[in-house]
Amino acid sequence: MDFFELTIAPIDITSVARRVVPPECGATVTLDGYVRKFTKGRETLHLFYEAYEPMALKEMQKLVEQAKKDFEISNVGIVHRLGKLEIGETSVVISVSAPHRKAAFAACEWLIRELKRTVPIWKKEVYADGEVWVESDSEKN
Amino acid sequence: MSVTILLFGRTAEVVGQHRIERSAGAQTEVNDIVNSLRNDFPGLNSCQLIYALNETYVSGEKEVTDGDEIAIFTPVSGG
Repeated sequence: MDFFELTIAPIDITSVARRVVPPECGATVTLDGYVRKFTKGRETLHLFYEAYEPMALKEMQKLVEQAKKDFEISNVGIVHRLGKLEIGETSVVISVSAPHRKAAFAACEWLIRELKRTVPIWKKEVYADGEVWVESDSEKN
Repeated sequence: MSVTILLFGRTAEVVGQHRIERSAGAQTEVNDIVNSLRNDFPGLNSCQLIYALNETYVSGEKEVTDGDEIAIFTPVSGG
């Protein structure tokens, strides 16, 4: 089963990973993206994520459909957290199951790169001395 | 006709709200809506803006119709 969700509750990584497992698969690759304490040497206190929710879900669905065309994979699950996140908390989980691991690794990498580029979600970094809405630089991502 | 403008993240912060209703004449493009918003909120002039019409990315030349939902935002930064 494929799925794509937004949630304000903490994400249970293991359950996301388990939900993509069908009998014909031999491997699941799971990305656990979490809140980094230091970005370019500046200390983050916490993050805040906001989404254009209906469009974000549509864009996530497009990514899942495209990934299934381009890679030899079985199922994809994507869950992105919204709201306030503390350091170390999981912001995004992407799980990809496949008959063989190579395709799952490649698809997972492609999915996170495209998610950062196309899915309408924004991150605000809050520092001790200010805050800033981060703008992606797709060249770097 | 009337359209709904949706703002997120930095654009919502600059404008001070997430949602604005605007009236628009015939043959209005997304660019026209954005320019009028830039006039009202000059803080938007320092933002790189991206547009979506009814939950789909569009360029500024796209014409709007009555009841459309136009989202205006800065480059996304999820993940």
